[in-house]
Amino acid sequence: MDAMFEGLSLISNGPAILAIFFGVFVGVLVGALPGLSSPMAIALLLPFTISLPPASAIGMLAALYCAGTFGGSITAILINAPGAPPAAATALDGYPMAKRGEAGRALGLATFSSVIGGVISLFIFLLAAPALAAVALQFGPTEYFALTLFALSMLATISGRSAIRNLISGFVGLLIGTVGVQLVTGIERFTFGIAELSEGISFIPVLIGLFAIGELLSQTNAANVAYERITSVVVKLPSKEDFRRVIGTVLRSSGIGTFIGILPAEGSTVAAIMGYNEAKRWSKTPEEFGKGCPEGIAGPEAANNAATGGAMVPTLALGIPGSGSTAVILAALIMHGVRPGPQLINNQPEFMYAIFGAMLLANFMFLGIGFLGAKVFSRITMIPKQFLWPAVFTFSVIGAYSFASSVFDVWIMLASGVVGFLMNRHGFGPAPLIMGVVLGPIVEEKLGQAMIIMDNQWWRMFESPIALFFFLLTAVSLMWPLVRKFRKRAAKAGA
Amino acid sequence: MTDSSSLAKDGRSDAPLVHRVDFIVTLILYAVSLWLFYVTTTFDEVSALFSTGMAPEIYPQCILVVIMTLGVVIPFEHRMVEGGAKSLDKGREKPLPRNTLLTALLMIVIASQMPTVGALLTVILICLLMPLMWGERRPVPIIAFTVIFTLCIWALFNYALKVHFEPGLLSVFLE
Repeated sequence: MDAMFEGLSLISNGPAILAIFFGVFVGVLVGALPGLSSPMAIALLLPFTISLPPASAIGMLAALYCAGTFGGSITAILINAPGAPPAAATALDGYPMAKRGEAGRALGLATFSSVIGGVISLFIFLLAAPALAAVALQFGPTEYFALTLFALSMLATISGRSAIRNLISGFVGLLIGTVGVQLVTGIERFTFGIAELSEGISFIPVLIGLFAIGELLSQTNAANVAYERITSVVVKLPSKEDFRRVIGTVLRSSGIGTFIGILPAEGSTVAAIMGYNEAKRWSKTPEEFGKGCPEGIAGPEAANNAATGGAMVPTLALGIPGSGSTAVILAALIMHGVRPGPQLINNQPEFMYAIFGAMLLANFMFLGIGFLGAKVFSRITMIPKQFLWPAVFTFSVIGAYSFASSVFDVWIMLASGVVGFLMNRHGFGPAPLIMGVVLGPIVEEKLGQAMIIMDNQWWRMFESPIALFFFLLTAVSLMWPLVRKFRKRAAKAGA
Repeated sequence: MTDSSSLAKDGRSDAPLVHRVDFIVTLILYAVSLWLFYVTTTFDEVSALFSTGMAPEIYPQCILVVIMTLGVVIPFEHRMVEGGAKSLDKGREKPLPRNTLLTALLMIVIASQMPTVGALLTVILICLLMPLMWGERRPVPIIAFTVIFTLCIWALFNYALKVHFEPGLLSVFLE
């Protein structure tokens, strides 16, 4: 209980609340703007949080993560252009409802469902993270290595064009993590005589390059789109009738979203789609879906926001991120000298409560923003891309430079951006690469420790039942895309 | 058991065995991986004092072997994935647009000038040149954006975040 009060006190001072509000504001802004994403915004803000206390900094980034997921729903409902992929399902019923003159009702339902989903998932996070950490405390280097390998294998199922390319991308990330002097032996690896590479490639410029510069380059030929805007917006709280109608869907979707969020490599987008499908499946009036059905808004919104709380469970309890955004938050934790994993939950539980408090506060803040500022945020899409992207580039350059006052980091950022853009063009996504970069040093450290314990006899790793369990899961997850394909073919052939 | 109708529908059954673009991608992947593998063989030797665990080249070598093993599949993947080549080629059907190349070039030029001109002038250069390159021709919005955005950035970083910008060429005026 003391830890909880201590944690909450870390974020209940003026500057911390201001930082969280700033995170929420930027999150809703970025979420509402098509093209900009939460991982990009978190990566861009990361270097500027260095002067903040760790709890405020992580609180701000976690708040941005929650708010970014919600922000997409505003533009999805008002202009039929989801600002972020998780809001795509919301547009299916949100926009038709807005078009028939009920934009305020749609936004009210989206805001209410998002907040309920977010809050439920945070309480599950509060219960699940310490439980998971307690289990993980039994893990030695071998078990931890097996677990990390399993997390990497889940890259095969992350959204993207191909499982193989996702895996290659993740392994390229692991390779980037090997650059620099190996701490155990003092041997330089892949430094090519460049002094700046001796300390390794800092992940901050890599994150900024992949998420911001890569996206900027892919936007160079995108045309400015003039959206048809719903202008008469007075956001309303759900009526008693609406509340009764959607509460079951909201609770169900919150559970689905939290569970999906906890799974490695699954994210808010998958949660939203599942939330929508389940809402339709359970509905007494499925024929109304796609025409402005309240459950069609409540389902995906509760699920995609619940996924944010769920995704924090493995990130904090195991030190294994489940998505691009949580990989960047994990990088932020490491940058602030906090090593996520079971030791964090057991030795510094106040930190977990601080993050919980920040995310809870963020949910109530965007409740206010959703009700008061939806109209303003929908206008943000009017910013022409000729000015929006130079602003993003400016923040990228300053962010990469200011972290270590090093022009070399700006070069790393540009190189990552250009290479990331080309890789993405050919189907090698940036999210698996980032997860590889962040997990790389952990994988090598645990593998190295395990090999010393096993006296370099790698096959002895299979003697640990927990490690064996994770190795088997890894095999299953690698085979899963193939199994799914054959099952689909069999089902089609049978039909 | 193969669903031949879906194969035919997305063109997978008629597709050539090897996807030309992906074959080139694989060649590049292999060239870089083999070169990096060679580099791992040139790592210094570990002194006996520290050589208890894994040799420093083993882990990167394992990663490179995995990358090359997975890479074998890429040229044939269009015959395996749902949607065939169409799904894999999404977004790369056309050659790289001129504007993308020019933007990348502009970014490199701006970054290379940064140590000389300083961070603040770099911001001004970005605000002036990038909108121009992206098709904005109205001088008033460009100048307004440059002035307002640069001032905001300077105030935010100098006062709120206490980030020191090297004045670069501006030091002449500041002195």
